[in-house]
Amino acid sequence: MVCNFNLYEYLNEPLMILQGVPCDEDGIAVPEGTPPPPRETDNGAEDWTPYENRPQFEFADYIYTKNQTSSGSIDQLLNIWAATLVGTDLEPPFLDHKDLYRTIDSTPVGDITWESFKLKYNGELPDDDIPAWMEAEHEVWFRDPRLLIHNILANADFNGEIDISPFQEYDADDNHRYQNFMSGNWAWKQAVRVYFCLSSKIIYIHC
Amino acid sequence: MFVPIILGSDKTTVSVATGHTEYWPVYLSIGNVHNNVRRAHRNGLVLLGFLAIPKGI
Repeated sequence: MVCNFNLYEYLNEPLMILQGVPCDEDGIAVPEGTPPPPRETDNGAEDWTPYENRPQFEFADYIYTKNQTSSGSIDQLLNIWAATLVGTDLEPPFLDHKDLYRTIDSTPVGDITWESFKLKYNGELPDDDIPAWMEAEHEVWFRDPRLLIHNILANADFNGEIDISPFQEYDADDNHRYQNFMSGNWAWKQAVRVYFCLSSKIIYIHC
Repeated sequence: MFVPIILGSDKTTVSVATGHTEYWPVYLSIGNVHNNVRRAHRNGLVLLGFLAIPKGI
């Protein structure tokens, strides 16, 4: 979690700093370098659920994601594999392509349920030749955008490639430097309100 | 925390059209992640939903 505004007060030189300071769920800043809390679904590095172990996951990832092997070829490969293990207690990573697909579909981590609602045109209808779409119900499928955004923000892969707050950057010649969305004027204007209180020389920054 | 939401839809990538309705994917990203991350599709751009577009409008 991130606390997004800090108030800095200097008697002689008011200074504005917007900085994303990592904080706990109560909004209290945590010491620099504190690792994020484990995810609720994080059961440790040895947990490959729903896969039995790492090789089984890597096999599925290679066959399905990288090589995009057809279902017939998956069955053929697994049959050959099983034949090499006859007479032992060992088994190939999956029985057949259905077993593989079932396992992939049951992956729980980061999954957000699909939901749907139906809507219907409720404007005026023409007197005749009513288009079919005006009377039909239409289905919209979606996933909870709030949860999707939580997942993006919680993705540790983006560490160092994400801006927690809007910022403005200037070079030595006072040229405004733009890089990425949060360095832009739109983001800055949306999030930052500055109130001057001249008598006490305090600048309030509100996000 | 300020999280700008970026939405986009692009019919050309859809492959689930059925019957009298086309489904247009709607993608979501946030302004906080850097452009190179969003372009690389490393889960920086996610599928939010499908808009039902009746054919023949």
